[in-house]
Amino acid sequence: MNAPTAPFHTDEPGEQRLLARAREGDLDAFNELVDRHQRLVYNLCCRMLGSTSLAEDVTQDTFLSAFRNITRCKGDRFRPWLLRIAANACTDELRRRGRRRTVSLDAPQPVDEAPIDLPDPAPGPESEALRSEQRRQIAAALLRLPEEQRLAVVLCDIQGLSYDEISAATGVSIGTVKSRIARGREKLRHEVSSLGTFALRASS
Amino acid sequence: MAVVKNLLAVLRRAHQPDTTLSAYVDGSASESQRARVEAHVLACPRCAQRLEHLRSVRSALASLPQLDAPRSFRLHASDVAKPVPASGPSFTARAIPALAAAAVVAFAVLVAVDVRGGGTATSSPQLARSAAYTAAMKQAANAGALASGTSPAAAAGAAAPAVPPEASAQQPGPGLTLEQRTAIADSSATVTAGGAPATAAADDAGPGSSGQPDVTAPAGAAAPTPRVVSGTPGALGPVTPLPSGAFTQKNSGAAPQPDPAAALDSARAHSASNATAAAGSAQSTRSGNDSSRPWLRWAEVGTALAAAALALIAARTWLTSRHRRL
Repeated sequence: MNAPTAPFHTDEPGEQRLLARAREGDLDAFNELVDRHQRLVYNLCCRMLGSTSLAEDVTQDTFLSAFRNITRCKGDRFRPWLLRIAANACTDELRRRGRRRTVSLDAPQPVDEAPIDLPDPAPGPESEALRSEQRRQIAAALLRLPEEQRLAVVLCDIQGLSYDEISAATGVSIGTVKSRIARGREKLRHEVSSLGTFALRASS
Repeated sequence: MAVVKNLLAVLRRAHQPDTTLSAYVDGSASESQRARVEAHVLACPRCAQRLEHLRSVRSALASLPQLDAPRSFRLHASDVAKPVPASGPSFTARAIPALAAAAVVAFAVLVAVDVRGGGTATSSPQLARSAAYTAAMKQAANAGALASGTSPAAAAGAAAPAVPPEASAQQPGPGLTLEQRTAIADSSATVTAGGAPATAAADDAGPGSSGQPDVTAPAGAAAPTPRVVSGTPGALGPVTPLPSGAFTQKNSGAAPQPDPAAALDSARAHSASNATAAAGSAQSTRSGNDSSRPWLRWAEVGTALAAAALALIAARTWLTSRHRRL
């Protein structure tokens, strides 16, 4: 089985040393950590918020908050700790946005920019259009999931984290992580198949 | 052979829960779960399809592109040097509890000034003190019951222990002068509370009292046991069954009483000694004496209300901000 077996990035050489230096207020060391994790944090924020410009702001806030609270990062698990800050920041942002305007649960949440989808680097046969349409739909369906399920599904299926690490990043038990992922996937399956345009095929 | 087949069929018939299928797709199912799923989907096309769909969803999600960071999110020294206005509580959130505490202190000081206002010729400070304290406690209980709908004391969780009068330790000995004894008695009638104090309005006041609140007591002390300040065992004896006439006489005896605080104490003592007769006769002692320092009473009411309002706001702010802590 192709299990999500993403290793903890804390195993990477030097991560512990950087973390220790950052705890002492070393900004350069912290910025090295930023370089290593900014893509992950930014992508998580994109998928949680559905907007690249919001994601950019929240990512910056996440790292700022992480640096200010770096002494509270106990142990050697920097990545789940960082992801937790990012997830909380996204939650706050969604709440702020929810207060400003009421978003219908049925309609896709308005995304103020172009849909988050990179143009495929190798445009091929016509199936490519289908694949891109499929991605657009699943990305939109993802944004309609309840926040907790969305977070679990994004961390597991998009970022490839293990259940263990998701549990650490979300602060809930592995059993809860499993059930959130299962319910999220079930909803996605229902939503996407109910659109009826095509059958999702395992393609990778 | 047929038996084994039947057994397998029974096992396979049980549809697999979503969590099991989902964990199976991730390769995180236990060994026994995996065997069960694999056996089941061979026989159950519906679950086989569910499994297939789950795999499709999973791979569709995995096919979503990973975006490159649009810029570097490295921090600059200037970002870090700034204070933390966004993450910490706002200025008002910090100032309100402080203001509430200040209002409580101001209230306590005002009450102390009020009660301590001047020595009076109370002939039996020991009795007056105990009875006044009991009365204050009763008033407090009443006020707590009355104000329970609006008083934030309970909501704020403010423990309001009735501070036993300090004077209970230092009994006025026979060598003390009358003034000294009275001062101790007066100070013992001051009841301070840690929480939000409220004023027991003059609900039993007659037309003569011009509507001003006369007794101040902490509403937070809704359920303290009325602690009678014990003097010497002998002195405690006559406190409870004290005839109301004694006080009335005493108060009317000191007819040109210049001090409202003394009148207040007398009124307290009176209502304690005889609750039923208190309302009527207390008015007579109160009226005419209470109006010399009205600003003090108004200030007490004002600070108490301010403290209550601020405590309410602070509690609300705290409740709404609590769940956002990291």
